[in-house]
Amino acid sequence: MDEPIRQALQAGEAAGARYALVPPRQAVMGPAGEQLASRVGSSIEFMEHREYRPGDDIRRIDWSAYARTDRLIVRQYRDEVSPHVDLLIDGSRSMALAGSPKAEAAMGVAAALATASSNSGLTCAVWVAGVTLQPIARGREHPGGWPVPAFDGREPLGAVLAASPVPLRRQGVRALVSDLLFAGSPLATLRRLSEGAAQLVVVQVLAEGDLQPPRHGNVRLVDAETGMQRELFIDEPARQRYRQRLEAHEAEWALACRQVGAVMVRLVAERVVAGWPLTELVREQVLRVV
Amino acid sequence: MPLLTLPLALMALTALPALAAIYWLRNRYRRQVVSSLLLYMDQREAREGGVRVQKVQTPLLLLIELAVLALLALAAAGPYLPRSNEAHVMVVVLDDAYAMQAVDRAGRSVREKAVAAIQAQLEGQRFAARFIVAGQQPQVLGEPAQRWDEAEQLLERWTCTAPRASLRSAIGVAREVGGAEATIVVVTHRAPEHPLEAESNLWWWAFGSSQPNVAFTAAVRTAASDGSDRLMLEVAHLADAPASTVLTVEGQTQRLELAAGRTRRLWFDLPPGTGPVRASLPDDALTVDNQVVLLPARAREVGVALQLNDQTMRDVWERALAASGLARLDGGPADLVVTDGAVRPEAGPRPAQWVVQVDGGGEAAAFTGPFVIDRSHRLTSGLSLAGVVWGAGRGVTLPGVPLITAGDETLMSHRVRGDGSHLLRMRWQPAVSTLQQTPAFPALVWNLLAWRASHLPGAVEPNVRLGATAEVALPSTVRSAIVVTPSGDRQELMASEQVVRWQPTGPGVWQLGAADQWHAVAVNVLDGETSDLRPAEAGRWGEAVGAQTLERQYRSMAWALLLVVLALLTCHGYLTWRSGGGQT
Repeated sequence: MDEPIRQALQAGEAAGARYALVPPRQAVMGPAGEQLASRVGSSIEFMEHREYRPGDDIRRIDWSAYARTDRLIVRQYRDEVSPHVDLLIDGSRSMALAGSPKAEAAMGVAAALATASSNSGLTCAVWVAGVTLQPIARGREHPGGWPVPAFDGREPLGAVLAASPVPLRRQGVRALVSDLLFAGSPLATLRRLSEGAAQLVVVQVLAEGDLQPPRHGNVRLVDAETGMQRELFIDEPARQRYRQRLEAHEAEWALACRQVGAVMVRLVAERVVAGWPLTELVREQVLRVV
Repeated sequence: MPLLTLPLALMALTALPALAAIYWLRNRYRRQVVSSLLLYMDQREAREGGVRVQKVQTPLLLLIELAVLALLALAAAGPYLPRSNEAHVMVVVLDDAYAMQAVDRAGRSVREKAVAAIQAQLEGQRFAARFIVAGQQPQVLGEPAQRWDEAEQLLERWTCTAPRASLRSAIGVAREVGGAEATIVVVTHRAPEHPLEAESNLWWWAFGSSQPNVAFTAAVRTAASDGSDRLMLEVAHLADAPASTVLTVEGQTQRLELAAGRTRRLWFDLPPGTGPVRASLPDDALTVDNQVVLLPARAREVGVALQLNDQTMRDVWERALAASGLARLDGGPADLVVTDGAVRPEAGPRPAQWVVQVDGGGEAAAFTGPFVIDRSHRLTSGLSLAGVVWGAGRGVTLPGVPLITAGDETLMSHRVRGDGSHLLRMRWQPAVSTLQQTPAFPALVWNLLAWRASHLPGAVEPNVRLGATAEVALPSTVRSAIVVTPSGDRQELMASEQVVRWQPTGPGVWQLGAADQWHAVAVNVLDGETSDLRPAEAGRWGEAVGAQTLERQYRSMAWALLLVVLALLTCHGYLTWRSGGGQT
C-alpha cells in the first residue's frame, strides 16, 4: 500500500506545481512577511479612504481630498503578513477503502494543495486525523518525502477533533481532505475547524464504490472503520434509497459549509488518480493556474 | 395397511433437495467492505429493498415450503387407508410340496422365508387369517387366527412333505372359505403359471430360488420267485451344468458323472435274504430327496387248490395258473380254491379261502357277445372279450353281482361272503368256448391271483412313493390296526375289506401292527417334477389394488393432506407478510 501512496504523493506534487492557492477573501493573518494582507497595515500599497478620526496619523490626511471636499479624509494602506495553510487529512480506515484508490487520491490531493500553497508563498503544515490528530512527520518538506499515514482511525473525524486540541494557526487557511462519511453533525465539525481560520476548504474524496451502491443480491456489508456487519438484500429500490441518502448526506455537508463560509469540493478518487485533474478545485477558486 | 395408488408421484420429492439448494444459494452472502454503514442504517425497515434478511425466519419458511412440497407429493401419490376398523380377512394358501424345504445359499428354507413374510404381513394390522395347506388335497387348518401366536400355532402343522401341491383347488377352497372380500395369499416357491386376474384379491408370494438339485426320482426293488433280489435306482441331475456326485448304497460308495438335466439308472443285484437297503446322495439344496430306503419285495404267491372234476377244465386252469407266476400249486395251504363242485364251507386255521366256482352244466350255448364287463372291478382290469366265444350252459343263473354278462345272461358274478371271503361264480364250458384260447383267460387268471395276493396279510407294496396310498392286508378276523409313523406317532386305522389304507405324510419306514403282527412300508420321495428347483423363483404378484377394491375397502387421504397444505400455506403467507413490515 505504501508504494502506490508514495507514487500518488509524487504525482500530486507534480500536479500541484502548476497551481497556486487562491488567497482567501478574508484577511489571512500571520507574521509580517511578503504578502499584502487584506487588513490595513503599514505598507505602501494604497488600500482605501476614510473619514479622519482623532488619533489618526496626520501624515495620512489626504489634503487633495480636503481641498475638494472640505472634509478631513485619511488614506489607508495594506499591511504585509506571512500566511499559512493547515492541511488536515482524514486518517480513518475508510480513507484506505480496500479495492479503491481513495488513500492515493487523498494523499495526492493533499500533496497538490501543499505544493500549490507553496507556490502562493504560504507555509503549510500537514496533519493526519487518525486515532488522534497528529502532525505528519516532515510535513513541511516537499510532499514527495512525506511518510505514508497508517489510516487506522476508527472514530469519526468530528470525535477525533473534539478529543484532540486543534493547534491550528489562527487566520490561516485550513483545508480538510476527507470522505466525510462519518456520523456526527457536519456543522459542529466545520465550526471547530473554521474557528479562527481565514478560509476553510473541504475536499471530499469519494471512491466509485462510495458513489454506487452494491450490486443486486444478498450482501454482508462490513464497515471499514468499525467492523460492524449488516446483511441486506440489495435490489433496485435499495440502490435508489442509497443514492438518495448519499445525496442528502452531501447536501447536509454542503449546507454546513455554506453556513461556516467554507468551500466544498467533491472529487472522485478513480478520476483523480487517472490523470490528476484538479479542475474542480480551480472551478471553486481554491486553486489558480500559474 | 395404507397404500399409494400412484407411488411414482413420490418422485416429486426429488425437488426437496433442489428447494433446499435454492434457499442455500439464495441466502449466501457476498462480503463487501464499505467506507461506512452510515448510509445503510435506517430507522425504518423498508419493505422494498434493503430488507434485512431475517435469518431466524428463513429456516422456518424453508421448513414450511419443504413440508408443503412433501405433502403435495404424498397427496399426488394417492394415499389410501383401509376404510373400516374391521379385521382384514385373509386366507393363506400354503404350498405343501416338499420343494418348500429347499434351502438357499444362506441356509434359509423356502418355508422359513414364507413364515417370516406372513408374520410381517399380519403383525401391525387387525386380521382374521385362515390357513389352507395345499398338498395333494387342500386341507383347512383350524379356525381363523386373529393373533400372530394363534397363527404361529396353526403354521406348525404346515410340514411341506407332500409330493405335489394342488394350488388351484386350494384357491377354490380359499374363495369359499374366505368370501368375496377376503384377500387370498398363495405362498409357494414358484411364480404363477398364468397372469393373475385383476380385482381378484389374489396375491401370489414366491420365496424359491433357482438352484441345481440331484435327487432320486425312482427306486424299485423286485423279487423273483427263484429268490433273486434286484434293486433299481434312478438319479436325476436337475441342473443346467454337468456335475459329479457320490452314490452310497449300504455303505458302498460309487462316483457318478451326471450330464446336465439327465437321469441315470443303476441296477444292483442283492444277495438273497437282504433286508432293508438304504441309498443316499450328498446333501444339497433339497435333502429330502437324497435318500431312499427299500424293503425286500414281497413274493406274492397265492396257494391254489384245484378241485375240478372236469379234466379239460382242470388242464386249462393248470396251464393258466402255472403261466401266471403267482400261483403255488404244491398242495399246500390254499388261499384260492377253484372248484366245479359245491362250495365247501370254510375250515382250517388259514384265512377264509376265496372260491371260484365254475358251473359247467346246462345245455351248452355259445355266447359271442356283446359282452358287458364291469370295468370297475379288479378282476376285469385290462380284460378284452372281443372275438371270444364263451360257451356256457343255458338257464344257469348266477347269484351275486354280475361282472361279465352277455346280454342278460350273467357269465361271471361276485359276492362277498359273511366271513369276508370272496366267491366268484362263472358259467363256462371249455369244450364249446374259445376263451381259454385267447389272452383273455390268462389275463383273467392273473387278475384273480393278483387280487387274491393283495388280500394276503402284509403290505400290498412294501415300497411306495410319497403321495401314493399304502395298503396293508389284514386277516379277515382283524378290523383295525395301529399305524406308527417314522417319527413314532401312533394312529388307529380301520380296515375296509380286510385292507387298511392310508396316505403316508412323509418319507421313512411306516409300521402297521395288527393281531400281534407288524408290517413295514417304506415311503420314499420320488418326484422329478417337484425335485426340480430350477423353475423356483422369488417375487410377489397381484398385490396391486384395483379400482373396485380401492373403492370398497379404502378411503382416500389426499383431502386431509391438502387441508394441511392449505394451513401451512396460510402460515407461510402470514410469515412472509410480517417480514415485509406488515404492508401489502
